[in-house]
This record gives sequence, structure tokens and C-alpha cells, in this order.
Amino acid sequence: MRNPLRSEVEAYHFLLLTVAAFAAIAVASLLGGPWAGLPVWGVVTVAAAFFYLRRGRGERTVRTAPAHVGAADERRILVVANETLADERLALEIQQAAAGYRKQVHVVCPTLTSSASHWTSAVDGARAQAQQRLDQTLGRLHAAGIQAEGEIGDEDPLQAIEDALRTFGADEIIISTHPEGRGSRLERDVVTRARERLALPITHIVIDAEAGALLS
Amino acid sequence: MPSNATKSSPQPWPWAGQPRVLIEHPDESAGLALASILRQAGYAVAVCPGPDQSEHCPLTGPEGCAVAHGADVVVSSLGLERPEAREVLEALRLRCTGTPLIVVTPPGDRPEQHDVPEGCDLISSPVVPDQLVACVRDALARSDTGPGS
Repeated sequence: MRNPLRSEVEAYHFLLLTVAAFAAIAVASLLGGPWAGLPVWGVVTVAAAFFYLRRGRGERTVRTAPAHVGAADERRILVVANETLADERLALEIQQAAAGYRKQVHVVCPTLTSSASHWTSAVDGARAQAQQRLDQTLGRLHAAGIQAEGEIGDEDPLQAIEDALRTFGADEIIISTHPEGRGSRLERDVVTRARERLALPITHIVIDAEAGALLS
Repeated sequence: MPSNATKSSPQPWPWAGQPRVLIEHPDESAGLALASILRQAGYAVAVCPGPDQSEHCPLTGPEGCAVAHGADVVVSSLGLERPEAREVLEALRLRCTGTPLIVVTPPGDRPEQHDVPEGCDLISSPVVPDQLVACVRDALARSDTGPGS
């Protein structure tokens, strides 16, 4: 969800408008009796919702990326393993992304938590699952002849990507997700959000774990 | 510059310690191509599509633009004809006085043809990678702003 207050100026304007709205409600109540403030409150609320929704339409984005790290003939690929990746497809994507370059591959497995475990901070199970995904992915990459290293990342996949980029400085990102509608609450929209925020090539692989199939 | 409805990362420049170049280009893929060239040369980049006709740039308004203020160099390919683009260039000169500004001009144009704000470097399109990198490097070397500061 978009944050409506992205600067001190916006927060200041919000405060002024809130004061004005409550003043209008109070004046209406004083002049017209206790119930006269109700329609004013309704109008103000609808106007605020309309203004907020209109502002969010057609948003354009500023995308950033860190500097290339490593030698000029080196291609760094960040793999975000939200789900265990099938070896052939991932290996193929990596080979294509690094064609003509020396490869450096880094795998990050976000700690995907449920809403309940997020709020209760019971993340040990999720971390263990992330470690398992990481080990499986690294194992399959090594079996495919691709040297890679990895780490467990933040529970927000986008934050995990940014954290990894700060040290690894990738030239390309490969993200695997469940089919739409089946991912965790944090997994949803991660590809869209990553493409909105990062000025890097991003490849999306959809894995239907139940069907054991790669969908894209 | 970001448009009035531009979304930003919680940190406008999350990549600490790297010289930062803001690229303004209305064509997303062309902006990303310039970004790729500059990334390879060791610069952190931000790519902004600039203002639409119906929008205004926050740099020209009271809210300001954290990305522009945090940049060490700005490369603008927004053009010089559109009033919105000129407004952005003038705001950059006025509000980011220490930040070098490189303006990409249409192919074949002579520098004197353009009424560009004072202190801008001009580079002709199509942009040659080595020329762009050299221009950014020279602009950074001349400026007082240290990279990543």
C-alpha cells in the first residue's frame, strides 16, 4: 500500500487539512446542532478518500541500482529463491544472463513468515525452511556445474534483495515465486515492486510446486 | 526528476559510498541503457522518467526531490523544447547548485543552438558510452561534492 505521507511537507499539509476538517465539523455542529456535523464529516471523508485515490493513479517510479562490483568481465547474478528452484531452468537462465562473462552467483532465501508468526516473532520455523531452500538451491546449482554462495534474507523479499545488493552488487536478478495467488503475503507483488524500484534486469520464474512444473 | 506522484524507495539512495548519478530520460529502456553504462563504470544510478505533461516535478514545488538532492551528478535527456523539462533544468540549477548537470542534446545540434541553463555540460546523442563516462567523471572531478557524500 502506498504511503500517503512521504515527506515532512506532505505530513504538514495533512495536519493542516485535518485541523481544517475538524474545525468545519465543529462549526457545523455549533451552528446547526449536534447532528449537523455528521454530513460535514461525511463530505470531508469522501473528499479525502477521492483525493488520495486520484493521487495514486498513474504513478511513475524512480528506479535505482548500485554500481557494478568486480572486474569488467564479471557478471553478478542474484537469485531470490522464494521457492526451491528446478535445476535445469535456473541453470539455463544463469547461463543466458552471464553469456560471455565470468559468473558470480549469490542466492538469497527470504524468511517467509505467516502473518501470525510475524506478529508473534516466532520465526525459527520459517528460518529453518529458508535454510532448507537455500541448501537445496545451492546443491542443485552445484550439481549443474554453477558455483554459487548464499544467505538467508529478511522476511520481506524486497528488503532481502536490497540487503544483498548492498554487498553483492548484482547485474541481474532472478526471482522465483509460486503461481499468482498461492504465495505468502510478503511474496505477492515482489516482482512488480522490485521492477518498480530497481534499475536492473529482473527475470521472473514461476514454479508450480504442486504440479512440479515451471510455468514461465 | 520524479513526477509529483513518484514512488521512492524508503531511502532514495540505498547504496552508500558510491558516486551517485541521476539519469532523467522519458524512455524507460533508453534510461536503463544509460544506467547500465554508468553502473559498469562504478556509479550508483537512479533512473527517473521526468514529468508528464499533466504532472509537475516535485523539485519545482515545495516538496523537493530527495533523489535529485542526493545525486552527485545529473544526466538529463528530457529534451530542451518541453516547458516541463526546461522548468526541471532551471530548478536543478537553482536548488542543487553544487550538482553538475549534463544535458543530452539532439544529434547534430550545435551547443549555441540551445538556451541551456548556465554551467551545464552538453553531450550529443546518440550517447557514446566512453564519452558519457568521461563526461560524468570530469563533471564529478570539477565539483566540490565528494562521491557518495
